[in-house]
Amino acid sequence: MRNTRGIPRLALSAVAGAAALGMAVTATTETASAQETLQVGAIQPQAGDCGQWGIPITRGMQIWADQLNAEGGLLAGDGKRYMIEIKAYDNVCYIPGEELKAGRRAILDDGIKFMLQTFTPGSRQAIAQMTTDHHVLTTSYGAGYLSKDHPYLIGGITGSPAAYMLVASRALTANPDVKRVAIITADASYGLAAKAYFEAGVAAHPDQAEIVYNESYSPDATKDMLGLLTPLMASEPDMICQLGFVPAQLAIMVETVEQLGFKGVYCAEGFTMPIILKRVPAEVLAGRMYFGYAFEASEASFSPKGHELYTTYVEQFGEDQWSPYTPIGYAAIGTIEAGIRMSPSIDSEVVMKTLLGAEVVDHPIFGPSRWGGEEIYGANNHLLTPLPIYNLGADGNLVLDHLLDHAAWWEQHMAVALPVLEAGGQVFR
Amino acid sequence: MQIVANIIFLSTFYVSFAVGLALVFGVMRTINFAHGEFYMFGGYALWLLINAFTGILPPGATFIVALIVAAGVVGVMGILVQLSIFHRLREQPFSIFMATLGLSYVLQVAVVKAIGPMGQSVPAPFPGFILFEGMVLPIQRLVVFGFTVVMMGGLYLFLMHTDLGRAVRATAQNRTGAMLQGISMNHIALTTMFVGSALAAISGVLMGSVLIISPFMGGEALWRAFIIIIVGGIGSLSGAVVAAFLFGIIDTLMTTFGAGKFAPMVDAIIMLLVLSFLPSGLLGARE
Amino acid sequence: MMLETQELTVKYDLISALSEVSISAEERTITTIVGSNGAGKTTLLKTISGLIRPESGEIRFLGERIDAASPTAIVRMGISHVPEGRELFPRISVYDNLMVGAYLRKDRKAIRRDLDRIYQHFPILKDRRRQLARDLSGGEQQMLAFGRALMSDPKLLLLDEPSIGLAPVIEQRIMETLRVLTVDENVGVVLVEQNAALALSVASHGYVLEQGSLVLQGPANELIKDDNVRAAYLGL
Repeated sequence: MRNTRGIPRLALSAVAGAAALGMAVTATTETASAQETLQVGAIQPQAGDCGQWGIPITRGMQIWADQLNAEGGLLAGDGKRYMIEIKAYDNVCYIPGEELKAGRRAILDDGIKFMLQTFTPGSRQAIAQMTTDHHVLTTSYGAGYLSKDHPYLIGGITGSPAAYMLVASRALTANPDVKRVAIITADASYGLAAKAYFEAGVAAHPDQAEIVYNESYSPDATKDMLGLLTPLMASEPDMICQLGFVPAQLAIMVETVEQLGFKGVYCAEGFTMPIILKRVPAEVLAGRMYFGYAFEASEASFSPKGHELYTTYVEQFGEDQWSPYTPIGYAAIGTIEAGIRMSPSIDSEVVMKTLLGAEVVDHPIFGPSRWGGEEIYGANNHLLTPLPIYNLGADGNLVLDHLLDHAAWWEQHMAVALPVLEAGGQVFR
Repeated sequence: MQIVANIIFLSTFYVSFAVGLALVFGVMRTINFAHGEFYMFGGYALWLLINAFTGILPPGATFIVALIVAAGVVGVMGILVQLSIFHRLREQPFSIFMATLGLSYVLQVAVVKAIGPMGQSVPAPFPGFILFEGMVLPIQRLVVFGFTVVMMGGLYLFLMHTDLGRAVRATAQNRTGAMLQGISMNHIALTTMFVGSALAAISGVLMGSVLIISPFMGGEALWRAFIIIIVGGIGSLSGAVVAAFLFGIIDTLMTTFGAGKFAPMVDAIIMLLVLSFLPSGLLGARE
Repeated sequence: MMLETQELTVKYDLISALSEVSISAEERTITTIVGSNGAGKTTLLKTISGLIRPESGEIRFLGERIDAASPTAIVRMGISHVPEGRELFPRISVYDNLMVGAYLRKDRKAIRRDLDRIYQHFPILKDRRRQLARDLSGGEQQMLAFGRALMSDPKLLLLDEPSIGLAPVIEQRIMETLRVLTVDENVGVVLVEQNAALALSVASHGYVLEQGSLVLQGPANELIKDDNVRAAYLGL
């Protein structure tokens, strides 16, 4: 008797677990049905450690939709307003195979025509053909992989991995005494892209700096910073470029290398300052923290509209849930927003042609920007938005350090940077 | 010399987490998948209490309060798991495995919903560091090391020098024999789940003070602990300690010499070799 | 009567392991149950000590029904079971094995006294008290199993094949010790044995079990002369 009673109970608990997980995965919005609704897909990790990136990114997109819906919908080029519904699809942890599964659910099952995905080259390649076949305009916070054969795949903003190159270069320009650079990146597709782009950024300053440490770590095995960073510090760097740590890990990294005697500058895509400042005082770190990705919404001066994202997010989820990754989805989907506003029809093929055909795209956050990417991807489908680079002020607040013109930088340094990217497997011409 | 310190700190982490799992596995002969989430609760207990008591209690005192509160609360959760899952599904190890796996997901999602997915970290309750013989020794890590030694000492005294502890060891080695001495299996199971779960929570508080606290921290720690208790010998606490140090040394050396990304693979290969040539583990029972 | 079973029936998955077995055992005497392998001897002992629940019938110990009591309650009432294969705790010391036997007792002085008495009966256990149980020889392990059972201060000992796997000389010593213990420690013994000759030589009363049913019973010195018993179990 006991046996037969036990099984439904077991089944129940397993189902409850799966159901609870499922609830977390698909975040959908109820929208008024008066107007037409436009479904926008988000393929991002929705659970697990990578959810620390994917969930804030998805939330940023949701706030984008909420803001437009509050205005009565997105005003398209056809003169109509469209309510936006965000549908999230889990790619587990930016795994290409999972990206493909998520893409199938979004495109084949749900008929999504506008979508955001990660920049990771492997993941972009995984769904490139499907986006082309089904005319799904797919943006990302960066380029990663583009192709003239896949015009529906666009790089929505400068973003990853280009920003790594630009931030490393800016940090070197601003600190002429920095000579020895350490690069530490995750041993994953996104980490390998970052490694090549950090190298390219350093290569743009051949007379100033050399790379003295350049290693990948396994994200699964890296729990103890002290062990990981001891060999890095043994190379005596005066600049550390990092990609792959989740925000709290990055905070522990900063604390650990400070304890190990580091006095140089940091470069990364984003720092979550409140948790870092709990560990290391602002006056110690001020002026040493270079970062830039899309834009940092908690800093008000760059974009008042963008800063609203921060205040809304903090109201909804609390200050300690703020993530430097929230703005990147918000900014990248803004490129599709710009395309829909320009296009005479919301048909995805017309939007794509209008957007890529435009000489200048008026991005809602970055303003007028031009297309680029030919030399790396063989297609000018990467919108080269200016990159705001931030630093830490003496009072513990973030300050806008520099607004870097991506297109101009590339013009100037392409000759040295491109071969480095090619050697790092990041050129897809 | 820093390597020596790093090995000790990493091994401390492995020991403090694996020993509770080894105890539960040894006595209950089945896996509690939610053990990792109990560890995660320890981490969040520290985070919540540090936030709540900032300015009221010194962080060091809060740290000690967190150890006591987390051990008590999570120990009671262990008792609830025993009553609701292990006892009702006894003799069905696979059902227990699935049910606790389900529970593990539910607890993760509950924390994501209640607190959020973003990992947290707390400033070291005992901040600062000591420079000694060229080694950097963060004080918090020394404190964690000290508490782990105290925790292991307490567990040793309980198991080796109390009647209940002796009964727990006897039950782990021979259930039928233990029942025939009048030892109540329910009583031992409740004791083991309380102690094992409390150990997970203590480990969570200790590690939460130096690593990141996230809803998913338990899952990763659990897989590492599986490898440790399999290599150490299932049911052998001393084997778990030896294996924890073995992997502490291997993982630290591999990271130091730039092969850290191969560490999980090497650890898995070591586990497979041990399973092939020493199926009962380094110090396991030959049964 | 110290222990009585009345029409005890035990089934494993609908197949009878014991059918309507009624036995009794008295204080300070050895009662033996002989029978071939699979006759149900071990099942009978496990049912008495509460490891197996009977389908029907009653078990009384000192006049109280115990057929629904837990193993813990049965040990507490004074029944101690030395099981087939001894079921020692292999990786703890001889001393700890003995102390686990006293798990339900609280009186430290009495426990200490009983421990000393067991060391007197089995001096080798005292010599080896710090060794792990698995490192003892077969005969020593059997002594430890006795000792552990006695540490619960029992009124009745259930012994399952104590001679199995031991050399004949050791077998004899074990049986001799058993006889002494019965008198010295004032306990009743139910002895289950395949070696019927050995068992009947020390017991005062015997039962013969075949395929779960009692086929014969009587004073041991009469059973040993019974032609059927001699043919079936004594190989004569």
